[in-house]
Amino acid sequence: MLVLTLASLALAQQSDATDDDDDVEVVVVTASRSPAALGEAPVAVEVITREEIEATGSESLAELLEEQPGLQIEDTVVGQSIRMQGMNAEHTLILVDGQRVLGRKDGVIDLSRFPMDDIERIEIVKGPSSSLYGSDAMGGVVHIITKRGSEGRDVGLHVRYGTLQRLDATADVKAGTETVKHKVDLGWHSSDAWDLDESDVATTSSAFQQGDFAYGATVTPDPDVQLDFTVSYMQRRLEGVSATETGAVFDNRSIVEDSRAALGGWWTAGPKTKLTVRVSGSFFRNQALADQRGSAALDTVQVDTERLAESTIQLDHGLSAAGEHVASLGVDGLYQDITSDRLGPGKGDRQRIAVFAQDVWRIELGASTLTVSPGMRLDVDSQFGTAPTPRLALALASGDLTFRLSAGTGFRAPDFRELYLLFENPGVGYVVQGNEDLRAERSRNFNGSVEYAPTKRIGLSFQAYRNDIADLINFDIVDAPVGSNQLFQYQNIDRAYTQGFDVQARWRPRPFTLELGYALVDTLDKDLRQPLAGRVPHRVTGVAAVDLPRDVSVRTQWGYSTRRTLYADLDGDDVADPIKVPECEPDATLCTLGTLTLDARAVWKGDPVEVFAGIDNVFDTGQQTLAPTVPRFVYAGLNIRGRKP
Amino acid sequence: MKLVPIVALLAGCAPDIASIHTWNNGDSREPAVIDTSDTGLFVVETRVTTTPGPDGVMHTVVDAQDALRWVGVDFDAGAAVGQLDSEPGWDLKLMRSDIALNGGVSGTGGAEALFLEGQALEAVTTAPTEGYTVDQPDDDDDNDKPELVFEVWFDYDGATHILSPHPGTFVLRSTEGRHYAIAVRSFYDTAGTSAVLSLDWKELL
Repeated sequence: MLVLTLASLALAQQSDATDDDDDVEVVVVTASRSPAALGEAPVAVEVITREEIEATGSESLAELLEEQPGLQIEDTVVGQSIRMQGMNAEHTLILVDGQRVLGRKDGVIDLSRFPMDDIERIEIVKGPSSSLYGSDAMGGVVHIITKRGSEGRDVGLHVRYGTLQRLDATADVKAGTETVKHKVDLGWHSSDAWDLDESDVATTSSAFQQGDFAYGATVTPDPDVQLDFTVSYMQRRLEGVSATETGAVFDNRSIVEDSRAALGGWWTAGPKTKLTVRVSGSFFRNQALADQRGSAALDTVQVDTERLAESTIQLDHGLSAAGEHVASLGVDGLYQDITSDRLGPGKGDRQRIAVFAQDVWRIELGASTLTVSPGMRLDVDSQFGTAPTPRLALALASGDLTFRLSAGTGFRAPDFRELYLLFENPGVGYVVQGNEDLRAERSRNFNGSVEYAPTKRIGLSFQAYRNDIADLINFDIVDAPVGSNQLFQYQNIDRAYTQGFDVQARWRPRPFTLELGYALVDTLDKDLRQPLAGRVPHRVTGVAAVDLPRDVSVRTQWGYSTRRTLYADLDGDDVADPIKVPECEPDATLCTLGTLTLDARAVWKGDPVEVFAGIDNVFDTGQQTLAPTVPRFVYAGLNIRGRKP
Repeated sequence: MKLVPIVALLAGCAPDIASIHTWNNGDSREPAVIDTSDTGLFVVETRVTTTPGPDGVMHTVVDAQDALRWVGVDFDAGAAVGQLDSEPGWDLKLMRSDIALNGGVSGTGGAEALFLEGQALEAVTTAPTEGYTVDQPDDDDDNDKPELVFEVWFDYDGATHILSPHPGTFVLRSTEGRHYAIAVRSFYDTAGTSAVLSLDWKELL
């Protein structure tokens, strides 16, 4: 799929290079695992292009996605997490060029560790995609497509500096010929810690230093064959201070490493047949050290190491001469292992093999095109057995309107932590234990959407969904052994639903750009008869930008979230009480309505030098307890780019 | 040869984090420290220290962090480390938040105790003559622990997981038949470490 990605990337770059009124469409790969024009993809795909990434000024995936309609980015103690369609963080599958991302902690992949340097575009599919990608894709998929080499030479430098001594510096080089293309990307990112509560010694976030490197080579010896190789490495060091309710204070340090390599290729075996093969490996290690002040009793060093090997072979075969009917058949193999001090056995491994099949059939109905796409995947996992995940997707494109309907199933395999964890909280003494008898979580989903795009400058879309989830894995209190206060164990205990809709509108009358999004999320824990914790019920997002004379442009992004509900036992009656977050003073009307965030940015687009400055979180919202977010951040910087054909 | 750096990247090339860190209170992983569990938690050797306080009240700190090993306390010997393998050599034994008595299901030393709820240590000057019980077998409650006379010593905050002493004073009839008034003061030491219990106690004559 990686190489299919490349083909699509080339087309995407063409589309970026043309005037945006042109009819050339962005090509996406996530919806069907094969390149498809965005408008013809069997399920709705949202694309954030390189141009849009640069316009936002985002330096990390978390910063970029927090302004996207229908996504909820949340600051948690284990990093910045994502929710899609009201599902949990672990229900969003995150892929980099088709490779699964490692390093989930408490279900969260920390989005702040993905720098924007090497990202060409991001594809987002909301709703389950387990019929194509298997486990985890219950709420949706975020697919990061990295940059690729190009012909000629292209050199870019980017430097940004701001408050908190935040520094981002990146350099990228693309060079190549018609047959061999290279790219190299280097990045450095660092920041001081920040603290929303100066009454204690603890910091709200950690200071960090991050270096990253990526290299890619694309070889096209013949128009029918392409080979692709990528390797990347990221190291992130964090330092912060934490304090427990018991008065213990810790100096915390950690080193996170994330690397991946992939080798793949495609071969067009005939006018109707294409074979795609890819093998890849990923490595993730987190070394975490906690050094107690005033004592050595609770000092810990914990090392978690994850490794993943994946392989894919996929055959696409046209069943009609014009290519409007394509069947795909493929096999995915996966081997994953982990060593961790927190796991009872100290390590775990799993193997999984999956067969998937999909048919994409485009039927011309007068001036309209109906796309029918049934798909089916069968996963066989060494831990939980088999999981079949069928999906049927229909798309009807008629003039400026596109209607889509899909029904599918999703699943999430219990992870190693849920299976094998043995963790005793050193500060206060409760125990959390895994459960080897867990079953996979399962969901049923219905999605419907309408898109209206009369021109590239006007667009309107509406997407509604419903997910019914069974066997959700959660903690349950079980009998406490001698020597502990409480024992929590993972169990398949919860049933829930999430439902809602997203509306997005885009209007670009020159020289303005106006975008508006609204997302409604309604959830229910069917057993406790209460909304699921942490979901933002209503969220409105917007972009207002203007191109001014003398190559200056100004862009503002804002987001408004109503308060979300968390649960904790506040009165000691062993029943969780609802807490509205962020917490408000009794007479704080604005706060009780919700939270408004605003980012503003101005750019002077010279050639080859571009200068920019901006303010993130203008209103400085964020609370130490339960709703932390980066305080107001002021920055400036420049981009330099040189090209030689 | 090109594969060598790639393999290095995939295996990780960061240094061992402990090798680049200077510990606040020495390296906790020196030989004197015992790693007792699978949790990566390094626990210093268990110990009991007793110091005299004002008004004849003694102050004893019991390091009961080890979740796999009881620490005995012998009040008849001035609240020294109790010898758990010796029948009369201990009166109470502690492990994390559990406090067991050398009597009933927990021991054969014949110790007994009772709890005077709400009574301050200072107010207890004579030993009650009756009401003493011993540790009982597990009943039908929601844990699989024996029913310990001392299990009422704390209140548990489910939101913060903090243990705080329940107001009151225990009276212990020791293995040698002496009486001691004991009040648990804290489950945490000054550095915030849990399961380092502070006890104030005095002998009732």
